[in-house]
Amino acid sequence: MLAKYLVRRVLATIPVVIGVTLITFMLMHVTAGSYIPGIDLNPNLKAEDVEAIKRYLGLDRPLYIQYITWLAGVGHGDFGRSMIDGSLVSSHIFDRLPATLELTITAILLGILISIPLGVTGALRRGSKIDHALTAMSVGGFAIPAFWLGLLLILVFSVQLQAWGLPFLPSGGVTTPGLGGGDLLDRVVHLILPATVLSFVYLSIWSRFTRSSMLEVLSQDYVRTARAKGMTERRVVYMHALRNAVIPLVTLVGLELPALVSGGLVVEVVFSWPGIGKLLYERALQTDYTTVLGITTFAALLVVAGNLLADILYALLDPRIRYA
Amino acid sequence: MPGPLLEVRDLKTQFSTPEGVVKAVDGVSFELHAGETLGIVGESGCGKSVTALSIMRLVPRPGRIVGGQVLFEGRDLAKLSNAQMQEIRGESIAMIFQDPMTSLNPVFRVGWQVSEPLLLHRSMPQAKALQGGTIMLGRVGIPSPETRARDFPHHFSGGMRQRAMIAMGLTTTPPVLIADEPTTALDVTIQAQILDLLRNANREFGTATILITHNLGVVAGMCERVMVMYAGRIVESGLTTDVFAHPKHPYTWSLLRSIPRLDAERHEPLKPIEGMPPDLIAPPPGCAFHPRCPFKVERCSRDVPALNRVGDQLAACWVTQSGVELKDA
Repeated sequence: MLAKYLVRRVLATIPVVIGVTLITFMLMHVTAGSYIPGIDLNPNLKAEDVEAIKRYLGLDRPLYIQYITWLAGVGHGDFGRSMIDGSLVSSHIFDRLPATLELTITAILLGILISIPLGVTGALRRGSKIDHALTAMSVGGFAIPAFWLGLLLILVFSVQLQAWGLPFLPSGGVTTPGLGGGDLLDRVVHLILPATVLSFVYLSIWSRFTRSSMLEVLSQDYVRTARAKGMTERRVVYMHALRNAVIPLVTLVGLELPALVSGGLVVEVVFSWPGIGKLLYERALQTDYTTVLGITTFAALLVVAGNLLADILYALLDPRIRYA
Repeated sequence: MPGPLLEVRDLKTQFSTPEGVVKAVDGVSFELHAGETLGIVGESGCGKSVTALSIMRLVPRPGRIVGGQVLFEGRDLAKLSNAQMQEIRGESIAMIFQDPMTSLNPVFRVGWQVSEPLLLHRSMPQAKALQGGTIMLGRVGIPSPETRARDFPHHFSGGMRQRAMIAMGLTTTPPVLIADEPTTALDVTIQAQILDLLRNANREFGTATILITHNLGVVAGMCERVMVMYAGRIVESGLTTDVFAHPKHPYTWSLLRSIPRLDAERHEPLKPIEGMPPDLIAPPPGCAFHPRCPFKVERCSRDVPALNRVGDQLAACWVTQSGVELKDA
């Protein structure tokens, strides 16, 4: 039954993928057209040379042919080639993916592990000082832009601590350069600031969500039934109530999965984190639109995959979901 | 005769709301003897459910027990610590609720939920508890209980869920079972089955049952004794046969008279109780029923009548306590 459900959900993603790729492809080509970065900087190129280059790159063909050729490539894991150096976009993505995953998985896990207890606490002590403090923190998390928080933390924990001669945290990079890759401790130390900034955003959203979901569940009849059975309040909350309260959270976290790749863009740029987000940023500045297109498409496919994963998790967590 | 199993003395439960203090239960006293079935009847908001929840110490916030005692096996439940109270719930006093559709946890298997009290109170290994729960599911009339125990609540119909709820309450064979409107949310045919089941449980396990309902017919068929509540107080209490045959409180009298009769003349109008249930924040002075009472005398709006012996039962009414019979004018 689950297998059938899975096949249906996978099939249902096909139109989504086509729609997403079509829109991204068209947007890129409408804005960048058939522009070849740097071509107008070379005065020695004759018009026919430019034509030849365009023909070589396939830019002379009708747009729909270009799209189909490109989409066929994506289907084979080929996300095209860079407009500036002809390198494979997919190889760039896989170069940068580990660093990005290291950062975002840490941030998402931190976000989940911290936001759920915070949300539960807020719900259990609704209206208390702790609840108000948590609310204020969440609002802060929404309101404070990630780049600003990042810069602030760098200023305090890297610059100022160093200026005072205290132990300080590195302001960027995955490892300390020149130390040959760095050991685990070195990597963890480098992770602290960017992961904090990134998880702070998740924390704000998810802890609020857990709180409201928990409040709703705690007023349900089955929670009263659980209490009437004579169990500890801890078991009531963390077993009977939480299990129901986290179901909607799964969707929310599933929607953040594409952020595994792109969500950390700003944070990666601020902390010089050599991930995919930073790659996207660098290449966008260089009008390398084919690379940008490749990365965007990759991220879009991850959105689709994330949703699919959330749906499956949802079905596993909530027995009422029909595989139909 | 041995002492009562459960004795409630002058119980007062109040809810502090922004509008004022709601006196949901205002000085309720009664006894429950081993093995008996006691009915508590009254209209919505009369305090019958809150009385039950107070016994279980499950009154939702902002409600709070402000006075009185709930004596069970010589201990005052109102004074126990939370940990001690957890030992009582589900083990000595079980409770089943009105709406079986929402009272089971949707994400856990029925068998597991039914066996959880065993897991909690008998420190049984999971497999053994599950076995006990499954046996109980069979005894409450769930066909092929081994298979159905693995189902989730949404696979069960309303009647089956209520059976599962009853099984859950009975797994530990508690001396007291409180059933709060157990049949209100069910079809009439299913209602009869569930009531049969409760009656059997009462007989088979010797479980004393407090049956809360607004259905007088259910009380007549199930309960040896009945208490009638109005505005947070008991207004009449006695053997069901006595109370139904000759009610001694005008509220009970009006309730019984309002039931449409099969042998009545066709098109005979129903006889509702005039007026509205009282506001529990500012109840009427004197007897709370006096604004709706066809028999009221001057004193009723002044003094609160105590629950005293009138004939074979107890009634809180100045009129009947002075010897007046309740009769159609």
